[in-house]
Amino acid sequence: MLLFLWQYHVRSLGRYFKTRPAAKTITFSLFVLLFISMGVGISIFFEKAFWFIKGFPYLEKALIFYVFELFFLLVSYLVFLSALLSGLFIFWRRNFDNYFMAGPAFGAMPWYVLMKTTILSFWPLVVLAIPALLGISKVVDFDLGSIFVILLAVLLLIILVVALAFDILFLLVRLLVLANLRSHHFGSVLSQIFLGLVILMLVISYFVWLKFANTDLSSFFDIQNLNIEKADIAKIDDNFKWLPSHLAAQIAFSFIGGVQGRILIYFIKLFIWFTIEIFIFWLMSKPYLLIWQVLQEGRFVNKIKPNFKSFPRFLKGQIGAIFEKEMMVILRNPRHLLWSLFLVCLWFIQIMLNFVIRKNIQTHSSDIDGVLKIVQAAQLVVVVYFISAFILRFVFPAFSTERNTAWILGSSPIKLSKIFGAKLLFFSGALILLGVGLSIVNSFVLSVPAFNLPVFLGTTAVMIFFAVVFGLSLGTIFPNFGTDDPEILSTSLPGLGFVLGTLIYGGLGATVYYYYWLNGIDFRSLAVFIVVSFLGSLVFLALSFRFLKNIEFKKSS
Amino acid sequence: MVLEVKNLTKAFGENEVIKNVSFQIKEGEIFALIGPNGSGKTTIIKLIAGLLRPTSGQIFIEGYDVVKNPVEAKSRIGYIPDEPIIWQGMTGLEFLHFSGALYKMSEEERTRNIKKLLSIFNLFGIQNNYFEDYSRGNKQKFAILGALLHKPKLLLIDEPIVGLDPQSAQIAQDLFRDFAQKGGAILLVTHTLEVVEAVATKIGFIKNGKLLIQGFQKDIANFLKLKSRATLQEIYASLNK
Repeated sequence: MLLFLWQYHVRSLGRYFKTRPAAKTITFSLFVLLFISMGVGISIFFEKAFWFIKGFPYLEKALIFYVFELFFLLVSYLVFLSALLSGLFIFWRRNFDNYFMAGPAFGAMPWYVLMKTTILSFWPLVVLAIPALLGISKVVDFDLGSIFVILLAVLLLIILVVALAFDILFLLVRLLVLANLRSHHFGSVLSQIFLGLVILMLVISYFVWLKFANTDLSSFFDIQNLNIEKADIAKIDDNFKWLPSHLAAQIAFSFIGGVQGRILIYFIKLFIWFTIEIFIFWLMSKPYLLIWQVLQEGRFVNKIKPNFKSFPRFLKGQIGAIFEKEMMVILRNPRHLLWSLFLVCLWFIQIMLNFVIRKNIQTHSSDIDGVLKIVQAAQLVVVVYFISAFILRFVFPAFSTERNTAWILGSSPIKLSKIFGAKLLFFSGALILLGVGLSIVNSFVLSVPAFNLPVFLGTTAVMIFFAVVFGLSLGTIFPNFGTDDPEILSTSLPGLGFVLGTLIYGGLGATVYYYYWLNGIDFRSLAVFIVVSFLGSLVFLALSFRFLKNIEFKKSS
Repeated sequence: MVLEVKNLTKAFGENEVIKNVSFQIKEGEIFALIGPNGSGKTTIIKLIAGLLRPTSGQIFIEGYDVVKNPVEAKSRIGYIPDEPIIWQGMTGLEFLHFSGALYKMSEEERTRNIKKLLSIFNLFGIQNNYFEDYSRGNKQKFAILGALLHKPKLLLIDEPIVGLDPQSAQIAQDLFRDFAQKGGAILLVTHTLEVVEAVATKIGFIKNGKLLIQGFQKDIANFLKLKSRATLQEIYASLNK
């Protein structure tokens, strides 16, 4: 059965290119180009950073070890969170499951999901680990053999982390099913799993936060101690031990530290850990059919069953109805909520870095003002990119995802331009609030001077508004009624266009903002940028309204 | 005249799926469009509902052109699709209120009408359940109520009784007849010939996008040189040869 499923997935790649092959080949090539560009950027960054580290003989080895630990922890954290989310869908009711579970090969389902999630989790290996190692290899003595061994360790680490996430998920599910066994009220178990998962993600994020944010690098590396010639790695070793990423970091560091003899030991340790996780998974997944059957009795939002007498509740009229419908679609869809939570967890990392910057640079750097200018410009681009991820997921497919519900909106006496306006109002309002909120928190953490806050927040709001208009317009001008899966919709050619567009726009905005502050609060360039953003928004709105006049809700790609 | 379709043609690229179709439905009439799978029945309904744009031809609802005056035309329509899917996480009651709000009905008016409509199929008690949790039949019932909520002049119905239990199917048929008797007009698209025989006042047969024949059942039977009491099954078989 597993073989059949893999053949199906491999063939689906071929099927993907069968319709509109030219457009899809361009999309695919551009995605590859985007990944290569990101990889080159990461490679150059690591090369420069390691050259910089080499300039401090006292810190060199300890700092490299620290960077490895943080890097592998970050990779593990990302893989762990996404594996938890993917793993949750083992228990999701999908049409496909019914065929699978009614047949004799139901036992293959957890293994299938584990393998699929593992393969999908290899992206940090391709996008982060390989480019970083190639960059580092130009500075330290990494030959091809050592890169291969390190990549093997990262591969093992990823599988281990995915299996660990699945083991925890299975344990949680089994405990919750057992807890509800006596009452036979299984309807709410899925909601409990959802809640448990949210708590788990937040706890893990807090744990990773502690590893990052509370770090005072000077005491960590014992800089004040003049009696030692090289910083000790014992404190770092102690800080990260018991983490699965620690063994991979030790393997990578052993090549630089000249202790190649220990690599095999670390490898064996990593492999033993990996084997234990897989064994636990085998044990945990044995009563899968029973758990699946029980969980079919409930639904994810069972506990928050609404009992409202009317809809819309807070607003009036057609626009109010669409506005609240958009809000409801996001808030009552656990898949959307968990995806948003994943992004929030990523935001935690950014806040952690802000804490590290404030704690270390503000304490030890003489040019605090200069550093703050760069950091604040970087904050702007981070917030815009962060919000763009939400736009790509929710705003860009906002028209295409109406394919199944077009019979309601399309046959009602409401102009499509009014629906567009309501969607724009909702998404721009919600995302500007979110973006400005994040910027306020970032500014607070970085202790940005209060006098500069209004301009910073204003620029953030204008950029988010433009990005929302850009995303909604692209999705309207190029609707795809062939699917309502936002993940598929956002990886189309127009979706890629949005990604590239916002990457350039965000970078441009941050540059303009940096020079505005660098040149002694010079408003001219910033004012031009804001005016151009508004004009650009108007152009996209005009184009969208033109295309809306001819839109047809037909279910084809 | 409630609905007037004039020389309607629809092509998807090179593929012409509706070919020069014309028909009219007056107040009190229930016009049933029958034909084999893929003949273009649902496409015609979608064109009238404004979900698709005609390649050529015109559609008027109480004199309003669906393409030129879509808001005025659509405010007179109630549409029941063959596959009623709504947004995940919306309850049946919320769906009805949402539909009413799109037709600019006040909250009081919506609440009053919904209460009355829910009693028709005895849906009290499940109105706050999520729509996706309803059975196929209950989804259909809510879709029917959603279409009737704003008191339209024209009902567009695509496969009206799919999934309904016999008792509910009878209620639905009575509801449609009552709607027509009170001055409404219905365009019915279905494969269930029993329903057509039970409620339709006029029949149209469509094949390969062409409306081959339309009129009263008896007249069609005479035209086809069948016995005057020929069943719809016999008429259908004769037309679909």
